[in-house]
Amino acid sequence: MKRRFQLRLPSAFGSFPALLSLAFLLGGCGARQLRFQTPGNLQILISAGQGSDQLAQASIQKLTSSMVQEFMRVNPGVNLHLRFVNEADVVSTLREKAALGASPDLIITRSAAAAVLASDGLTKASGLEPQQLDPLRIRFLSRFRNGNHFRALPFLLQPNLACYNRRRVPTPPATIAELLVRAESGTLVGLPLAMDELLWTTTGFRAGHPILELLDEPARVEGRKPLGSVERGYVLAWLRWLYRANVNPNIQFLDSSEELVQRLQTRQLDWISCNATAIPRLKRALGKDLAVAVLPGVDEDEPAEPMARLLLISFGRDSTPVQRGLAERFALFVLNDFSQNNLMVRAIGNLPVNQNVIVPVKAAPELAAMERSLEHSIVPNFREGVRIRLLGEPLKQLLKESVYGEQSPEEVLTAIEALALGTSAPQSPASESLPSPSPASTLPEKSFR
Amino acid sequence: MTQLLYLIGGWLGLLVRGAVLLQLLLIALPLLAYRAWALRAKPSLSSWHPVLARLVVIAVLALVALVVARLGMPSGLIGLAAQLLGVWTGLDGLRLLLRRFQPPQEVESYWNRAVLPMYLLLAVAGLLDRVEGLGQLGSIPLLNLFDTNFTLGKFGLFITLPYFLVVLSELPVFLAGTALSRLAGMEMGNRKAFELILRYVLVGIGLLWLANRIGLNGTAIAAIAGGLSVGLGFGIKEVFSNFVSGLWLLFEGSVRPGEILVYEGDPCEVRKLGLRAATLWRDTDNAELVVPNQNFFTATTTTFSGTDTRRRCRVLIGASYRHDPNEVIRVLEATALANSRVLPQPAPQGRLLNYGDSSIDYELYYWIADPLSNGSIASEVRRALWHAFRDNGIEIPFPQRVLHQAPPESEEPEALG
Repeated sequence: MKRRFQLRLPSAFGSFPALLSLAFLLGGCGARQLRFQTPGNLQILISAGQGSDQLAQASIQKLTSSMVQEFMRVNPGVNLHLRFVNEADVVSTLREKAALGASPDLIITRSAAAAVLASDGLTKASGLEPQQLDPLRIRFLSRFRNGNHFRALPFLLQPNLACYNRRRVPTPPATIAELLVRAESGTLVGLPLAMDELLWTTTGFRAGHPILELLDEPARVEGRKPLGSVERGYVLAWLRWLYRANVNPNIQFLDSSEELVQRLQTRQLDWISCNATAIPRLKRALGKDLAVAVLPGVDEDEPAEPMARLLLISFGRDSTPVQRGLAERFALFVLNDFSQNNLMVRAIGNLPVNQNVIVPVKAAPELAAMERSLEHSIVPNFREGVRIRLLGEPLKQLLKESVYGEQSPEEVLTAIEALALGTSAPQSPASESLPSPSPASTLPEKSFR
Repeated sequence: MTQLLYLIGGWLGLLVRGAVLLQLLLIALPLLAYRAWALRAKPSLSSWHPVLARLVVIAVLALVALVVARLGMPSGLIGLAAQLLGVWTGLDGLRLLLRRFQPPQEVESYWNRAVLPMYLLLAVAGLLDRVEGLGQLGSIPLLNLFDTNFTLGKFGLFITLPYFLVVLSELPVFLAGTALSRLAGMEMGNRKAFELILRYVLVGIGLLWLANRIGLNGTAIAAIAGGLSVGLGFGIKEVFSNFVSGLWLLFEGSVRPGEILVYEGDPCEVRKLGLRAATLWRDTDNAELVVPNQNFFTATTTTFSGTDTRRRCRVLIGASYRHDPNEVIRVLEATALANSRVLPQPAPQGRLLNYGDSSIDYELYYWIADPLSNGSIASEVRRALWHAFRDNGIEIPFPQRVLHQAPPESEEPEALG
């Protein structure tokens, strides 16, 4: 009597193997086509930032998309498929895809994530020979060398800078002491709470390298050795300075770099510590009022030592030889003089790793500041600067407790040591999603410095 | 759209990988074996054999996944296939259990309309999420309509959510109705009305959420509403009128599912009150009548289930002039009372109706509980009356016609001469 549309159970279930067979056939045909006719499809996964760090993400999305278009133009028939994921999800995404045998052919990430992927065997060393890369004169390449191959290839550099409103701050503070004086006289200063972004403030206290060694040096981490008394003194002095700085009502510590940029955009702040990738956005909002400079250090001869961001290219482990070959061709393409120059020019905030590319420091003051900042920057590799990023959230929480006086500097330092050496669970309300595996597992067996 | 096709084309890049192809092959083989068995055995819908066979397939897939993983090769697809099949087998087991406690037809109907499509949707979504990432896939722009950028995700919501809203709301609404009916002693008609209204509310809220979710432009909605109002004046006013009538009838409670109405002279049961029309069931010929709601709204409705469901019925009969009317009436009332489907209270009542040409005409009134059973009860009462009259020597006269034929006229004398 009534007739309704109904799916029939057996037929729906029965069509499943048929679909699988079709996929198998399609795959077979695709393989044949790939071998004899067209160069094929390439999967590229890009993760340049996370959560609040949308600036870097947006910048790299725009740049890589244009690179992909150009590569496809000179390689007709090649299809490159981009997928963007947050840095927080990159490892879990790669694990899921690798389990299916569907990991991307090429992965662009920041160095901390690349280190985790390499140590977990989710990426494979590049098949490119040193002599293929030598003409490109890639900066920091040797740090990733493993025998005759490279575990990853440097792609772009994004140094940290001081960004300020020229109307409110006619000349940038050259030293950290001057920054405090300016703040006392009314300049509104914004500082980040993320440890890797705040590391430049440790320069005058000599606390930067002890912190990095505490987090990353295998002998110390595996031996559960806390800092020596001299090093503790350096770090404690820095933590006390942070607390005193926060007492000044004109200095604000904010959770994310995104928030700092937004407040400078809306002129709620006059001077902030920022990453170079924020420059295009700030320029749109502030116009000629925006100025950038190197971050203030101890004195004019000893500028700050910030931690720069390094984007790396890694290669997937499931690619066919044809796909791997294509991925390597694409890597060489984005590293060549033409592409690296384009990447630098199209969106200010990125410095080339290709040393053949001349950075026009005289024509662009922003590039000059970036280049100068990079000279003194700590550039992370698979050994250094990994866990400061992986433990970002709990470290941020401890710094927050320190600057707001919730815990004394001594307590905070003890907690940082415990966190670094893995002797206590971090008391963080929201730990970052990047995994923080045991210290030994994040570090490669050999040093590539 | 180009981006979507481009993305789908990109999956070919994964299908050429040996590890992926091997996994697909290893999944297809046990599934094909299962399919071959199902084609040969042709198990019925109520059989547990397919569940058991699928458990074997799952075990084989799990074993294969283990071996492949031990060999250091990716086995995630095989594991995923085993998981999906496991979930389906579990659901199928649940279906078979439910068939024991609920009418099988209803279980199968709900299963095929709601559970199976939902399962397929979630399975496909899960697979796509693993391969591509639903977030990325959902953000692919398809077209720009009314200043709203329709992405693939929004489009997917737009085509699937209304269906699942309508279908999936059935069960929770039914459960809520059952609970309320038990707690508050709600009548069937009220319960059905409550369920229908609750369902409209749920679907309405869902559609509003959907409109908000896909970011429909308020101006565009206003423009559509303006167009609709013009359309209401011309083409679709009947539809709108029926819809409003349906809502009104629900609140008024005169035409609710379960009610017994007289429609075109026949008693019918209201089966469903829809947005446009009510579905009535006529027991005389087991037909379903789809009657526009507006008919009930504008015309007189005779109902047997307004304040109570009892029905007063009447049987006419004649008895010969020679019998005492008191005696006949006593027999009539006693006979009606003897029928178990005739209510004792109000008591059956016999009346002398008329002195007819060949009989004294009587009428017998009695009450029944089920208004739809009038025809069959009346037949039983009439048959019982025939027997009762025979047993009491009461004659049921019938008109007799006596034909008298005039004698043939005498032949004329032959002409003289």
